Formats: sequence, structure tokens, C-alpha cells
Amino acid sequence: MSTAAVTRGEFAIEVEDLRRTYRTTTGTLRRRRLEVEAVRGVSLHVARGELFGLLGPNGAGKTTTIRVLCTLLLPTSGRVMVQGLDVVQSAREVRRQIGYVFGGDRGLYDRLSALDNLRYFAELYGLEPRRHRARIGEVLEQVGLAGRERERVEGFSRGMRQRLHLARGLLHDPPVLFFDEPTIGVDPVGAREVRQLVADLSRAGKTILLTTHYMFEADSLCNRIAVISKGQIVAEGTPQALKAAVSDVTVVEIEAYGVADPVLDSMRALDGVDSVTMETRDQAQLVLVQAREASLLTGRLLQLLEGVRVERIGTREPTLEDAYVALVTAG
Amino acid sequence: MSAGRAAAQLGPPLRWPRVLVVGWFYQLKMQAQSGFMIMTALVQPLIFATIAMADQQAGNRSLPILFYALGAGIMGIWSTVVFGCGGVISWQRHQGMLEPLVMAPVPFVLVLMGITLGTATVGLYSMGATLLWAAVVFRAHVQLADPLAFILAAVVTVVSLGLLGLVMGSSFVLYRNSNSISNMLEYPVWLVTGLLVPLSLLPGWTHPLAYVLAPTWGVQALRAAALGGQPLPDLGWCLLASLAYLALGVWLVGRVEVRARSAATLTFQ
Amino acid sequence: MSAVALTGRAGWDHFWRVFLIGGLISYRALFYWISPWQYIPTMLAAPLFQILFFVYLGRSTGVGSTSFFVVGNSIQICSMAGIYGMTMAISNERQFQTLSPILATPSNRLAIFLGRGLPVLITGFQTTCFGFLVSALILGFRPDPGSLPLLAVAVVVTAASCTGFGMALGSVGLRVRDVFLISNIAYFAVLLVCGVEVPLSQLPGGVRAMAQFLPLTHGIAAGRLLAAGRGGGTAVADILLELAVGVAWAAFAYLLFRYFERSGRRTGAFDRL
Repeated sequence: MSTAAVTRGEFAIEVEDLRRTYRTTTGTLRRRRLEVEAVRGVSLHVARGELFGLLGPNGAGKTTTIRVLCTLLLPTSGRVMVQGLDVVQSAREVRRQIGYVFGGDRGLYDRLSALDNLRYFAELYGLEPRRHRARIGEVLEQVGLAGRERERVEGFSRGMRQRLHLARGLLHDPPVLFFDEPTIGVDPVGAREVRQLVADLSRAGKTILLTTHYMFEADSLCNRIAVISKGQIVAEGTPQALKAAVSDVTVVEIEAYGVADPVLDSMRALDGVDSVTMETRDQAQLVLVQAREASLLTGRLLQLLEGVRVERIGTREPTLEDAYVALVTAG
Repeated sequence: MSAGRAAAQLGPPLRWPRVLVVGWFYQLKMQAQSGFMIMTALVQPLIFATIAMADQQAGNRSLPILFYALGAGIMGIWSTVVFGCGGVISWQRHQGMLEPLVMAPVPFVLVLMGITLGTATVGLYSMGATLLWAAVVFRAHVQLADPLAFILAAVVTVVSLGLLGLVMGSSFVLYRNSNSISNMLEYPVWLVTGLLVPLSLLPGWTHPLAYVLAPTWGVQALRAAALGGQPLPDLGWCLLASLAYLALGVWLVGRVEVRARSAATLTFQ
Repeated sequence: MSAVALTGRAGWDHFWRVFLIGGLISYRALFYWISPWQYIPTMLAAPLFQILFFVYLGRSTGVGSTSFFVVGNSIQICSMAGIYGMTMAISNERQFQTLSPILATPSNRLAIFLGRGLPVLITGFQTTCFGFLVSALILGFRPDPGSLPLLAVAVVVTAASCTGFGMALGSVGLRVRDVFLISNIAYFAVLLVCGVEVPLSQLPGGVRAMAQFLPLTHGIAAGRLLAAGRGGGTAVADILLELAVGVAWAAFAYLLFRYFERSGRRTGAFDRL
């Protein structure tokens, strides 16, 4: 966070106690009303020029939060300001200042060329007509689509569509950008280029809020991260700070076959154990135990695994992923 | 200073006409390539034109054959509007375009208007096709009494129908069951607005309904311009209807936006 | 069900069961658009307005009479169920990929096929009757009372022949992807060519000749004669011709179906969309 932003007291994005509830009805004969609280009191602040990451599993409330920030959704309660403007009252002014990239297969006119799609949106965003061609040329260059613009979008690969989404978001050169899972479904090479572009944009002074569930992406790109789980922020800070939160923790990795749930529960009950999670890979299971003084625990853990075939047991340093898992599975 | 920020953003009064025209253009470009649209705007009107003109030849010929060619052309524009505009919001949502369009810093109604006007313009295919058909297949003498007035009438008719399409599109989204009505909107409107039948032949109680529907005035203006008469009064009524549709459309779209933002219906969740 | 069991009395019972029950169940599965909200506008209101529209067209052009257009359009309406119903039935099977499983059963092909047609025929008959009823109420349509039974026969026969025609179009749907385009065009062409809205005498000779081999042409001609009370020999002859046309189309449809089935099995076309 730049000192300038702190002293000025200006934030590009301010969210205070955001809540968003969905009301749905189920059933056809006896309609019941269900209320789902997707976002339950989220607060965050993003300074100008910061690259902020919002991390969380599916259904945590990332998508809802970002859509409120983009003026697509009205909050149920709370205060949300972008560039000092209220997203509810001043939606149109906010829209002038933000760009967003939601990605996916849809969201573009398939029957038009990439160029036509951009021309149309250049008009919607009010770019001066004389500058259209030059500006469109610039963004195409930036995203690596130069030369392909006259092709129809229906023939584009997923990666190319993503680039076109990016180009559209950058057209009017907004100071604030929102990226919702920008590299999902994109091939590794393309994804790396997208990340590079995000980093370049941040270096150029743009304020960026990015949602992702790729840990390494958040780690490498973001100045600060917030972890959202079940509609609430469970942690916030720099990647280093989040990793430090688990610094006195060691991770014991156990590769085994046929581990049953009661065994995991008894592991959790052990003194000094913070969390126990299990992943299944093909036939084998990978049990991850986060604990303090793990070296003292390995004996007890092996005792609990009596009768189970243990392939490998080892200890290692925690990663940001472990911190994330610990935060997200708590409660 | 980057080129983007140096590109001044035009103020609203100057921008809105541009946004409308550009949206109109691109929508027309897309619709003109759609097979379904071509079927609706070409094949169907030609079949009805053939039926009407064949009957004219077989009957007492009290009305000229051009009367029926014109009527069938407008029938085509109406079909295009019912099917292209009725589901406009659902179709945009299906393409994932609602979010990008709502996020643009222009009034959403302006964006939708461009779409419905573009769709209505595809109906001009019908107009041209039925007249050509009359000339080629039925050897009709297609001579327009007042060509300029005719063109003007065609433009005004298309605009009025595009705006009516805006009203339909937004109300179909607000009142969900109204969607199935679109299946039965062709014949009744064709009939009531007197496209192939002079209004004098229809029961008097249907006339008020005819007067609020733009095709009634549009077809009368076109007939007057083509066959000789006074197109201006009818054009005036058509424009008045258009203004009413515009006002209603603006209000309805405002309600659609509010509902979409509060109920999160901009995307398939 | 072994092949042996398909012979003899047991086989005949099986035929009827597949025909009736199988037909009804598949009809319900496929006609997902039959909810009252959609049935009423599509199947009842739209046809009613079609009748009104053409009756008034007749008054505007001075062609025919109210009865001419009422009979023509009411009977033509049953082709809607026939054409769209059948093409939907078969192409939807293909779309939902239930076609292969059905064709893999040893059930008699004819029974399956005809079973699909029965509910469609009934729907067609219903909508035609509705058309007549409403025209009687609103337009003062008064058919000759003595001819009503034979008129009903004419309607059933025409509904059946439209179903046969629809089956042929539907069989094409086993191969062609955009069968709806074809059925749309067929529906409108029939409106123009079969003497529904335009007197046959007004059509060019070639077109008139072609109409003789299409459904509706003879059925409507019979219907018009009967409604006017001028039934008798000509009307019966027309009904028989209509029946012949219907059977011919149904037979053609069956052959197409078997042919496409055999070649589809070879090329794996059923599950490819």
C-alpha cells in the first residue's frame, strides 16, 4: 500500500459491511420462499494503484461481491464506494470509471468480428469517434489479438475470447479494473500472458481487484489478499502475512490407502493439531495434518493409522495454499 | 498520458444519437445473417402475399393488387418484430450480453432500442420482396404515386414498429406468462390493423384497438403514398404512436433494470 | 420379448400395447410444450384467429364465402398437429438421444411408428372440431346437418393423411438436422397450394396437379361439398382419394424410416446431432 494513498486517506474501493441476500422460490405446487445470504457483512478497502486479490472456494460469495462492486447487483445493505462514488446512487458515473473482465464463453457477439465487437463497445463507452481506430489498435496489441480482429468471434478459442474480453475491458482506459477468475479455462501459455498483462496494468498505476481460486496466482500477483468463505472475510493481509499466520505450523503429509473418517476425527482430537484434511487421488488418499511440533506427533498419527496401509509420511513447510485451506475449512 | 484518457468522452446529448445508430447498424448486420429471420421475413410474407394476390385476381378486384402486396410486406415486418423483439432481453441474456450491455455508461433503454430498431429494419426485406413478387409473378404495375413520401412512410413504419418491439420486449420480461402470447400475436394483429382488409369491413368495436397499433397507420400511409392519396395525416398518427411507445418503453425498461439488479436476473445463475 | 413371441395371438396383443400405451407415453414425454398456458394460445387461439383472418380476406377480395374459408382453414388446422407433431416426435427423440435405445428394442417397428401417430391424429381432430364450433358461434357457420356424420369422417381421414405426411417429414428428421425449416415451409406451402385459401381453379395447372398428391386437397374439397349439403358421390370419392393419399404418404414414411434406420445404424447418424 503506497504511503501516498494512506496519507491522502483515499481508497479506490471501499466496502463497508456489505450484505446480499437472495430470495428464491422452490417447488411448483407449494411455493416455498428461501432466503440465501450469499454475502454476510464483508468489509474491505483497496487503495489506489493496489492489486487486490479476493480468494475463496466456489459459492463463497466472490462472484456476488464483485458484481455488487460492478453495479450489476444491488446490495441488500452496506455501503459500497468506487472512486468515491456510491455504486447504488451513482451507477452510471461508476461505470465510466471501471472496466471488468468476467470471461467465459459467452458475453460477446458471436456473429460479429472481434473488431466489430470492440467498435460497438467503443461507442457505448463514449470514446471519441476520431480516436476509435487508434485506441482499438492499441488494446488489440496489448492483448495479443492484433491481426485476428476481422475474424468472427464464433471461431475463437476460449483463450482468444478471454483476450477479447480483456481488450473490451481496457478500451476506455478505466482507472479501476475488476477481474473475475481471469485465467480459468485458459491454456497455460495463455494464462501466463494474462497474468503478465495484469501485472503490467498494475505497474502502470491501475487499481485492480481480482478474484481467483488459484493460490499461486494470488501469491505472485497481489499486493494484498482477502480470503472469503461462506460470505465472510476470514483473513486479510499481504501474502507474506497470511503465510506467517501459519509459520509456526508444520504440515504432515501422509499418503495412505483406506483411511476412514473416524480416524480423521481422532487425529483432530490430538493435542496441538490445528486441522486435518484429506484429498483423494485415484486410489490413494493424501491426509494433511497441520500442527505445531509436528515431529512429536508423527508417532501418535501412525498409531491411529494402525491397520491402514501407509505409503509415505513426511513433514514440510506450509504454503499459502495450506493457510487458505485452514482458513476456509475452519468453522 | 495514454491515448484512452486523452480520448475525450462525448457528452450525453451528442453521444446518444450515435449510440443508437451504431447499435441499430450492428444489430441489423447480425440479424440479416440469421436463417430464422430470413424465413420469417421472406418466405412467410411471400406465401401470404401469393395467397392474397391470387385471391385478388380471382375475386371482384375492387382493391388493386398493390394493396395486398403492401399489406403482406407489413405483415412480414410485424412477424419479424414479434419474434425478434419479444424475446430480445431473454435472447441477450442467453448470449451472456446483458451484463456487458447494462455495465456500459449509457441508458440501457438506448441500447435496447438500437436492438429492436435493427430487428424491425430486417422487415424491410419483406417489403421489398413482396413488391418484387407482385411485379414479377403477378405482372403488377408497381408504380409509386409519391416515391419520396413512400420512403418516408416506410422509415416511419419501421421506427414505430421497432419502438413497439421495445415495449413488447420489456413487458415480456416483466410479466413472465406473457411470453406464450407471442405465439398468437400474428393473426390477430394482422387482422385488426387492416393490413389485408379495409378497416371498414371490420366490426366497429375493433377500431380503437387498431388505432393504437402502429401498423394501422403505417400501412395506410404507405398505401396513400403508393396508390395516391394523402399520406401525411397517417404519418402523423404513426409518429404520435411512436412517441407513446417510446415513453412507455423508457418506463418499462427502467423497471426491468431495477428488477434485474435487485433480483440478480441478468445472468443464468 | 423373443422373436417367437411376436407371432400369433400374443404377438398381436403386444402390437396393440406398444401401439397404444407406448404411443401415449412417448407423446407425453415429448410434448413438453403442452402446458395449458401454451396449449390454449398455440392450439386453440391461433387457429381461431387464422380462420377469422382468412374469412375477412375473402370478404375483402370478394372470393369464396364464409363457409369456404371456415371449412378450408378448420380442416387445414389439423395439419398443424400432423406436421409439427410428428416432426417434433421424431427429431426430439434424436435430440434427446433416446432414438438409439428405442431402435435397439425388438418391438415391431410399425407399432412404434403408428403409435406415435395416434395421439397426434386425435389432437388434429380436436382442433378442427374446435374451429367448426367457434365459427358456428361467431361467424354463423351452419353446415348441412344431414352431412355432419360424413363430414366427421372426412375430417378424421384428413387428419390421418396429414399425420402420414407429417411422418414422412419426420422421417427426414432422422437424417437432416434442421427438419423444422422443412416442416415450416411444408406448412405454409400446403396453405397456398391445397386449395385452402385460394380456389384450386385459380392456381396454375402444374401446381394443381401437384396438389392432388398432397394431403388436405381432397379432404377439404369433400368437406366443402358436405357443408353445403351437396354431398353424395363426389364427396365420397374425395374422401377415398384423401385416404389413398394418406396411406401412400404413411407407407412412404415407413419405408424412409426403415431406410434411414438401416443406414443410420451403419453410419452412426442417430446420436450425432
